[in-house]
Amino acid sequence: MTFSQDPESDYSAIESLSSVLTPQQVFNFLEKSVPELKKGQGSLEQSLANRRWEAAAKQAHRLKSTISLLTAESLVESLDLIESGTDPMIQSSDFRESIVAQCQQLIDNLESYLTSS
Amino acid sequence: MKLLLADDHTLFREGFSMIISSTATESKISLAASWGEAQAMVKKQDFDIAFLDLFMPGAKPWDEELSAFISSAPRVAVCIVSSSNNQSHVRQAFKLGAKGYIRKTSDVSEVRHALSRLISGDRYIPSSNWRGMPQAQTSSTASFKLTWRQREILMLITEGNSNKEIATILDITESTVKRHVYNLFKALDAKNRMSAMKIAKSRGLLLNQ
Repeated sequence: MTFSQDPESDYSAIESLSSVLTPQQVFNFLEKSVPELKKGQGSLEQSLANRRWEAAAKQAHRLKSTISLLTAESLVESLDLIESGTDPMIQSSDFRESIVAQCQQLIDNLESYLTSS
Repeated sequence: MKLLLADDHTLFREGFSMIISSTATESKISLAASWGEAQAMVKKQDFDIAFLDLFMPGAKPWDEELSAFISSAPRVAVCIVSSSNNQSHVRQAFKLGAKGYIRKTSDVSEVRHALSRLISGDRYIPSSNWRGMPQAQTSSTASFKLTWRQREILMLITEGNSNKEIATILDITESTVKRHVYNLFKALDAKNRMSAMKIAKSRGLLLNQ
């Protein structure tokens, strides 16, 4: 498998995985991760928008499992906040937009990696 | 080496098992998706290490499931793999007999380090768990100002390990252990290991307490 890096994309999220797995393993893992991330992002956004905090906490927990294998610390921290449900900040639209944007950025970067591999 | 990985999240299981395989190249990994499946597998086969998610589906609360698992397979080294950094979960897991606790959000290099230690038969206690303890849960320890390493050593002392053994377990020199023990005694105002253990126990300072 050849890999030509797109200079405009940030592949730091997969640096750790790439250091221990073969390019083929990374590719296979990401190919399965992206649809799951998209699904999780959509569900989480809806739960936050509809103020269903318990559902949002569960979705954040599940999303974290996938993201945890990728290097996306700031996103994990935001998901931690949703999961704990104790910080009123998660109820703001700014927070919701920020986390959706972070998820989207991660998905875009992973998709860019997949198409350039 | 025979390993069991139990987690209800398929994608995580797949990714984590690849990381395990890259560290323990000769290992055979069996997969389970619930406490029930993990219990059934450990009763049928021998495993060296079991990596268990705390919050996978089960018939009972996780601590009861973990306790039952360890009882049915006392020779298997159990390592928790969880996204929970809740200190009470970590403590309870060690109290019930877990040999390691890997946070899912740990960096891959830290996960590999943990795996190496467990595969070598050592215990793995992640430093971030102790550093990240919520203030409310550390109030009893605050006055002692123990570092996470001191608490780690304190726990190993209570398990009856000598300085030399602690040095091996933590992969540090014996003289470093002696320095930590000296500082520990000073912080606790203890005269010897026995009094250090008594003071620590009475103050709820032990990691597995």
